Amino acid sequence: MVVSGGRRTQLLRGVLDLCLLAVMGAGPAYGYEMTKRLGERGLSIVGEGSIYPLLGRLERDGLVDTHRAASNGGPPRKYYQLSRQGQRALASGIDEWQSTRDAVDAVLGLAKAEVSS
Amino acid sequence: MSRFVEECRKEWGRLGVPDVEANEMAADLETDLAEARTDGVSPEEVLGNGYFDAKSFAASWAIARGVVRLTPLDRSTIRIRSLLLALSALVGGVVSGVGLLILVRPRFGSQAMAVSPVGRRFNRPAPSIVVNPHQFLFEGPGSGIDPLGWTLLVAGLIGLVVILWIWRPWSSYRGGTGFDQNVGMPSFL
Repeated sequence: MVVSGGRRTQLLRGVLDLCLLAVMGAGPAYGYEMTKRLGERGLSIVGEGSIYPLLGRLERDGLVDTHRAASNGGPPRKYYQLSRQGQRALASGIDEWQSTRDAVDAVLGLAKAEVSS
Repeated sequence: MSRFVEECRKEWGRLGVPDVEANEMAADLETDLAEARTDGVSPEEVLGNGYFDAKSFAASWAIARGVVRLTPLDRSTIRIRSLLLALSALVGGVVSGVGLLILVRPRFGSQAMAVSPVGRRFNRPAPSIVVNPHQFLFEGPGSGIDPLGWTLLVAGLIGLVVILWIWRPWSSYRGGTGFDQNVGMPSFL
């Protein structure tokens, strides 16, 4: 039996890349900015893996394009944005997630009703 | 440069990450951590668990970006080290196996004395040995050479533990970082 903290980690493992692609959908962002966007939407990575290796993989796989630009007058930052391929990956990933979530909800919802009755 | 970023730089240098890439990653990390500090955000919130293991974090990031370069020399060194470690492990296993065999062998001590009546005996505290021109036979009910068996067994096992101890951190430098490069999370989770 996976303890709850471990389960959250396992669940995040499968969807964190999707979440990164999703927050990039709001516009190009650098690493820390994406962490902030995730946090604003209620997803904290404290106690979880880092997004940086994930960003590296997304870039290597061609799902994101990058460019360097100054941010608010500060030093140049590396901005990540969705590529065409990334947009397609995001769309299919959302479909996969929603169908998986619906199926799991159906199973767990039923179990919850049985437990509480 | 923060200590965390310095440690990452060292790891990238050791992994043969080109300076251009290492500089870029270090700069991005440094500016992100500085901005987080200004916002009152802890490094852990930015780096997740990676903050507690700079080497693994740096290695997984570099591998994920595909910028780790192992030279032919590295590969050759890895092969030689692997071979040496495997041979050492084999020797350790054989030594501890011999020790174990000595400890669990059938006890023929009294027969040994009977078949070597003309043997010359060296009186040593333990083990005492009976010598004849053709063979060495250990004297007594077997307890006399138990120390030898124990010594070999313990020495062999210690050797194996030491080899394992050397192998673990070293093996992590071969590309397996203990960090899941695909998702940026510790692979043991």
